[in-house]
Amino acid sequence: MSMNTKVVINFDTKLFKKEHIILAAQDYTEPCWVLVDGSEDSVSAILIPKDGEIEKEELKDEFYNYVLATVKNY
Amino acid sequence: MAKKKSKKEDIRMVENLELRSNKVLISINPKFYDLDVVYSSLYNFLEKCYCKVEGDPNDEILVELKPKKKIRNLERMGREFNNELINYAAVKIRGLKTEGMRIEIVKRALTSHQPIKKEGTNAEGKNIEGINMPWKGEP
Repeated sequence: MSMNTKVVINFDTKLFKKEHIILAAQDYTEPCWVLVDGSEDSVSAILIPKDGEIEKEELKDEFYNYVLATVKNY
Repeated sequence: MAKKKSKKEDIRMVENLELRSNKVLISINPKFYDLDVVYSSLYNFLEKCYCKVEGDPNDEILVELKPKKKIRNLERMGREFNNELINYAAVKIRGLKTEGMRIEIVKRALTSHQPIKKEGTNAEGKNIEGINMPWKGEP
């Protein structure tokens, strides 16, 4: 399991609801190992690609975009 | 008398996973994941693992997964559990969002059922004057 492409993304709960991040994260559970946790102030999502072929920065940006899309659509 | 050497178990921490030689302990924030989400996630592991749930629902929940058959990659199993937590948390979120709609659909389905009304009878099948008339067939 490649730990080099571990991506950690933090979200401020003033701007993002925990529900949006969880819903977005659900769609990433197939290509990645995902951990989402947080507190009242912030929510963190940790993503690790299962096959290690995804670029770290690209994954981070894609996930962030996906959360934004979830905010819009949910 | 020779002292027995206690074998120190190798414990490795990876995020919320405590990896031991034959089991993995998963630390879960109960303020983030409801207990029913934890139990739903655990259900899928009951067949292949011996499972335990411990801790304080106000502070920290510890889930222990001990595979029934020895497996090499306990970290993978712990991560599968984390993924399941997210899946069931998402199911709950969607369920809550559609709850009102589902209740309304069921209400309408139940109230739209009307009994078949015969001519000259009321809704209960009695004749209009409220006297049940026996059937008199022709010989």
